[in-house]
Amino acid sequence: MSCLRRTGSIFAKTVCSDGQTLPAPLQQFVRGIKPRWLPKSKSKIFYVREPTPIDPVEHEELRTMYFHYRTKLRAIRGFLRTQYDQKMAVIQKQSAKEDRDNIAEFQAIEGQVSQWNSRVQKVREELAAMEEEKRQQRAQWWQEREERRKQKQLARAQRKVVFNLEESKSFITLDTLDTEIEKMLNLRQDYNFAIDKQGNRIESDSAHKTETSQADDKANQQEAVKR
Amino acid sequence: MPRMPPKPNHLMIRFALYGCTNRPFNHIVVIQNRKNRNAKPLEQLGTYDPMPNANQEKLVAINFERLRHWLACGALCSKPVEKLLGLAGLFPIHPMSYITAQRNRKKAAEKEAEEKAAAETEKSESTAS
Repeated sequence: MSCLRRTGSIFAKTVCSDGQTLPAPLQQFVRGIKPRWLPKSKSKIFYVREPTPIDPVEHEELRTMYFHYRTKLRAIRGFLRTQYDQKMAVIQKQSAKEDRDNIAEFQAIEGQVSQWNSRVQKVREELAAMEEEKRQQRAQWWQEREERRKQKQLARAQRKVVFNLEESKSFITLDTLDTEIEKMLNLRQDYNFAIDKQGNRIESDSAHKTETSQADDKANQQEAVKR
Repeated sequence: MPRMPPKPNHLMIRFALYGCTNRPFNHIVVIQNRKNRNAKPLEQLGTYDPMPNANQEKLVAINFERLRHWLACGALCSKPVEKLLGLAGLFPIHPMSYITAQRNRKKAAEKEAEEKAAAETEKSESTAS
């Protein structure tokens, strides 16, 4: 089948009698179905289809046959429906029985399970009580320990306080400062001593001796310079 | 808006055309009547190969158990399927099948009579000459 189809974007040029060229929509034959925008073809404008000839005898026969056919079909359908219903009823009965059995079985199992659960619960409660007791004991022990620790700390602090108070008695205050300075100035400390292997101090004989030895050293040095 | 008649909505047992160019092959499917021809069916009940094979047989396979089930559920059959099931023996023979056979018989008889008449005229002509 072929028909006229206008292609949207392509335009051909038509040459007029006076030599001018004008753009014109291109109409070309394309195979396919007639698009909606094309009008009825010129040759088909007044075309009316001839109705299909019906043989009246055959038609009457067909009519009666159809009636019979439909009746039979309805009967078959009804039969199938009843069969189906019977089948479903049997299945439903079976399923109901199965359900009952299942429920009984389930209840039996449930009873067993609940029994077991109660037994386990008892055991668990005992365990829990034991654990609780243990926990409390431990908590008590920890509390006692903490108390002991605190007491010890307190005692230590008190000792420290007492010690510090004792110490503070010998502190140098503004009043005693001058006397202390005086004391320190007057203090002579002699570090000229030896220590033996046992850590005993071996004092020198006397401060005088060291002075004489120093004088000797000086005299020796002067002699050496002279030479 | 004019009041529109209610649109039928029921299950259909009908053909779904598969195969390829110049090689039709049909599935017999249960499907909602408003769905497309090859839409996903509820169930495929069988196949129908309309091309005769080497032994001049058109092969059909139907799952009758499921077909009965769907018919009981109220599925309607399309005309070609009714014809096919009539030939298969589940339904009575479809009236249109009878009529087609009648027409074919009539055509064949006419053709035969024509041929006979032609043969007779030829014979008479040959005897006259």
